[in-house]
Amino acid sequence: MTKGFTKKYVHKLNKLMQELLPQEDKRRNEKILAYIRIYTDLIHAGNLLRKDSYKKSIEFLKIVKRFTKEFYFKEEEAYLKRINELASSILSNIRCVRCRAKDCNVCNPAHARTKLQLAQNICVLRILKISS
Amino acid sequence: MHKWSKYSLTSETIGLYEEIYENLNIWDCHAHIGHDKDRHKITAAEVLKKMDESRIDTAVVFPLNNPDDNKMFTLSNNVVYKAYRKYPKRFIPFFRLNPHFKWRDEFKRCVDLGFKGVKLHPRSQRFKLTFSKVMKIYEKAEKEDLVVMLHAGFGLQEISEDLSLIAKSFPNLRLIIGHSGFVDLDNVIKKLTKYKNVLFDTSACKMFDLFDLIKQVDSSKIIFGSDIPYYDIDLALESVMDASIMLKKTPNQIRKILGGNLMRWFR
Repeated sequence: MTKGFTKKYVHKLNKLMQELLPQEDKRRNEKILAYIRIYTDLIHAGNLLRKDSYKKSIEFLKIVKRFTKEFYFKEEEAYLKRINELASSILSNIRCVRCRAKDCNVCNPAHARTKLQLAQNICVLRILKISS
Repeated sequence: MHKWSKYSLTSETIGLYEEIYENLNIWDCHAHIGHDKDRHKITAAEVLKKMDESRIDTAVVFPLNNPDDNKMFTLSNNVVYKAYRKYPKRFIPFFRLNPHFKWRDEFKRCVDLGFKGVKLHPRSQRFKLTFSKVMKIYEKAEKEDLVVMLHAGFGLQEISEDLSLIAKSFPNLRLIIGHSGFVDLDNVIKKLTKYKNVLFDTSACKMFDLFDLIKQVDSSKIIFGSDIPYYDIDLALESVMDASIMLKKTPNQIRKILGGNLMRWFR
């Protein structure tokens, strides 16, 4: 449900921006929206990275992986690739993450939360730079 | 692509980077060597390769949480020592200890070998920052003029009171707050900035926390850290540089954060 919800509203926001903004700003905004979309899913993945909900976290990580492949901006390639790698790295080590996950939001099972934080930082950094 | 980063940089940023990189020595205060229980691993040669790629001159290195080690980190500390012997100009060796066990022999051995500091990890070794046995380690480190790097990131929550007590109890102890204590950042900044021997490590901080840190803490007290292999040196560098640039720090202040402040402690 959350997946559809996020997608629907990002799509609406995108459409609105396309209509309101001048042509030269559109590409820049598309990039910003792409990063907001990925960032939102990374936040969800982080919030769900607990013993009782790690399976949902995995779903969000898979969405992140998919989006980083779907969005194509040549100049963003290295960043999107890195976010994809980080999500993949958590997913490939998921057995270890599952074993170490606890029922709290500060646990860092197999450093998965550190990696999510790095991926989130990439999004924030790019949004700041693209919009400045 | 620019020579300083595998990532794309805007022409405007490159101009500022050029100025910052002039006469710059980058020192990374937070790098790991070895392998961890959670299956992450990195060798000294791999760390060095990453440092070269990102133009890092020197890195403080310490062991990961090796599952094959005994309780005292002896094997892991030896791995770091070997790396230091091989690349003495590139690595500053820190050892790890477990305060729950008899740590004094390992402490002495490492000091005799020439280690420059000790990394303590309250989450991995499951102790409170002010646990009586750890207080003895701080005391000993202060006496031996060793730097203490304390993990103050994920896995912990309210830590400012404890950190403050440590800084107050051992005024000559040189203390690095790992990850700047981002789990309790506002309070850590409020309570710890007044201590002259305390430095804030930028590794693995959220971008927003990094902004708060650089905005509120004097740039002479902030040091760059990457936390490899968990983090990415290029991105860690870019984050610190860009946050500093956006907050209108001068190239000289940024150079201090990236290396100057840490160099003061080890040269």
